[in-house]
Amino acid sequence: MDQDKFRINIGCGKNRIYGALNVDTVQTGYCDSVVDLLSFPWPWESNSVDEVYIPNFLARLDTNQIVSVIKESHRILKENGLLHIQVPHLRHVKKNYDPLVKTGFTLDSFDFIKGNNYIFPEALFAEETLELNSFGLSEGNNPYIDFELAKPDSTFKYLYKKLSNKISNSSPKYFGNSAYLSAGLQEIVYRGRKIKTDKTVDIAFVLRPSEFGEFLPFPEMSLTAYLRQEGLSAVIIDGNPVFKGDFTIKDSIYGEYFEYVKNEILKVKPRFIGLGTFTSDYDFVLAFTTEIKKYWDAPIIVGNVQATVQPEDFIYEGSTVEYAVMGEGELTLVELLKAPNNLPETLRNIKGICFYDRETKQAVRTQSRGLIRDLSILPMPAYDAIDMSYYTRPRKRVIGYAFYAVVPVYTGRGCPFRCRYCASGSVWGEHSIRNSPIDRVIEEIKYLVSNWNVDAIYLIDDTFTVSRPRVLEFCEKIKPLNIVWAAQTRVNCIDETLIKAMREAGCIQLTFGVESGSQRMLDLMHKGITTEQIKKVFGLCKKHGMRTLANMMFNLPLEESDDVKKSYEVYEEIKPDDFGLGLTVAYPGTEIYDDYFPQKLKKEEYYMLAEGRGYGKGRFRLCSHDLDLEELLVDFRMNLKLQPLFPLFIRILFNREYLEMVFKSKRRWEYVAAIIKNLPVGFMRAGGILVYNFFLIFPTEIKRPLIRYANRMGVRYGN
Amino acid sequence: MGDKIHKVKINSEKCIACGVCMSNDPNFFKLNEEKNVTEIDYSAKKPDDYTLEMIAQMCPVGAIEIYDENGNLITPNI
Repeated sequence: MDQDKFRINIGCGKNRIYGALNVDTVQTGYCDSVVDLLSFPWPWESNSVDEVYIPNFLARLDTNQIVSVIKESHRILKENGLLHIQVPHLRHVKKNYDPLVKTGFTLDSFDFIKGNNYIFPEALFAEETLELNSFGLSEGNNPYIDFELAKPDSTFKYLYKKLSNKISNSSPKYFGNSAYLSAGLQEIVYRGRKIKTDKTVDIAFVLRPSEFGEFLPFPEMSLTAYLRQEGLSAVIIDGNPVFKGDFTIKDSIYGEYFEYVKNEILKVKPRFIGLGTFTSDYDFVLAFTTEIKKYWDAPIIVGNVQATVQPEDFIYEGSTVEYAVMGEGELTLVELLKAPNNLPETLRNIKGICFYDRETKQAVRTQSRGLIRDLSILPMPAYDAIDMSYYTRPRKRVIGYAFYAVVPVYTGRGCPFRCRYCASGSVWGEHSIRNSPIDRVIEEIKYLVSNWNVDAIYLIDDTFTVSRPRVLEFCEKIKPLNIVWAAQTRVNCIDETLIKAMREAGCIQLTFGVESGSQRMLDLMHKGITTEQIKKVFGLCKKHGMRTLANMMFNLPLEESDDVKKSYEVYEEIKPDDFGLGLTVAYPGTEIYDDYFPQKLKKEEYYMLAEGRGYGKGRFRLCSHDLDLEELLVDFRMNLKLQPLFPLFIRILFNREYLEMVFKSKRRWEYVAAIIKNLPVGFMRAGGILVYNFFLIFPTEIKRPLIRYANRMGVRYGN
Repeated sequence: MGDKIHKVKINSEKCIACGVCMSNDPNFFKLNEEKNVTEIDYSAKKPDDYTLEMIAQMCPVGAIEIYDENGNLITPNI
């Protein structure tokens, strides 16, 4: 026998195998070590053993123990490793008279190893041998294994048995299953080689289709990376790169998108399916889980906003969702996936989940887990788990509205500020910031640049500049990388020193939440900034050549037409390079939802939050004035006093810094293609603005049909 | 600028220990884990007036109160 191989003889009894580690549950006088073979996992590493021999041990076990032993053998065996089983035949006399033998076997007994059943959905071993054996272990001269204790039998008996083996195996099914012919048979020998089943992953995260597919699925990527670090496997099933925004939301459940996701799930055969849940995704989650369970029945775990704020929406009797992970999912998910069973007493000990307890018939929220204080325990998000070529194509919705091969990067989590329209506090559980070490962030950026040809980084932290020394450290360390980047922050958290340092370090744009030009509104929303600060900081940005993007909100609670007017005035004064425009929506988990949204949403109504066109209408109308909000948005977008004629991606073509970047980029032709493809849109917008502003001299009654037309054309959405 | 800040203190009733001031000067602003509030370590070197004012301005709850030599509150100016 090849001495280099690691062989284990499981339940050796009195049959030692040469060159193997002979183990049994009790000291039989013949074994090398005593191991409790019925408690799992066994003490050997996964993928560490070349050959596993199980002579006669299985016959002494219960059915469930047999399954566990085979699963465990699969775990410890290397790929293509040998599993050798010898068991007494059902008709063998020993089976009927030996009180230690619980189970008899037939040739069909090993069919379940072939897979395609509820125990083993997938085959664990490729069958090599399945034979009837007349020799039996105790009789010696076993043709299959080199036993140390095997004694030579009489030559006549040996020849007889050899002949008997030959005959019975000429038609094993016939001899093995026939009551009369099989009576003299002793054993069944099974040999199989381990099939690598790394296709069976612990969890598959399913992404819902996103209209623009601009932002990378960071929650799923971060979870995937952490699960991998903890020895679990995860995949992200993302149809966005396949369909490239070409689908309707309905498709996500019933159409091609669903087909794609379903096929991927059947391919990877996950133990669990994970879904992120934004409040407005509620319908999608329920419809998707109901539908997917028809094809692949794995427990569903939901996480993210809605699962944190209101997990009971998902966890109720008869729900298609089994678990909700509340708050940050990394640590919780690892515990949940590693849990030995799904009994309530086990689940109750896992912090930060919500599950349905069938005995008490109620949803149980376990103790809160709290936040991960030290973000350096988290590995870099698993960028390789998604189609990065799609997510790094030059696109314009990430930095301003100009084309960049850009990747958003988080340098920290949480937001300390308490704006009343934001659910950040209830999602994180508190208002605080936790930062990754700057060196880690720089490492990540270097990785992105060298692996994915990324030209720009967008720091997606809610408020990047909250720690001044940290920003200065970042600027100093990113400067040598010679990469363009942008960040978002607040006007009260930045000053000239920082703006100057950031600009010099390659920052091209700062995004500010201006929200309103009315101090009354800013104070009411607990925004914590003043209009003076807004004007001052925008002035400083202009001075240092920093591009600015101002996010504006209308339909704020108790907003009067006077407040709208003030927003117009302040905006006209600060003249940002670009803008984001939105109508305020009261989301569950925000203070304005509690205070200004009297008719609360039922969970069946959450989908309304996804319908942009319903914002600011009916119960979603929060403002006190009676201006038509859609007209207001169109007017804000098209008004030449407020907006430049050409969109940013056209204006920027005359910027030397931008052109240099495009020229240097390995993706330069992708930029050219993207820009040319979008030029007609840009010029159409300019034409629209000219026509609109010409009509401004006429009274509202004449303008209105134009506004309605522009609105129908989707002006309020595009930039 | 000059040395106009005479006194600085943290209103522990308002403080939520969010970490903004601590991330700016971890020596001067220290977390009291027991009470879960930030406290000032007066033995540490005080940041210069400008930085201190900037930090106070960033405090999300306006808990950092700074006074001039006449005892007038400079920030928060609410």
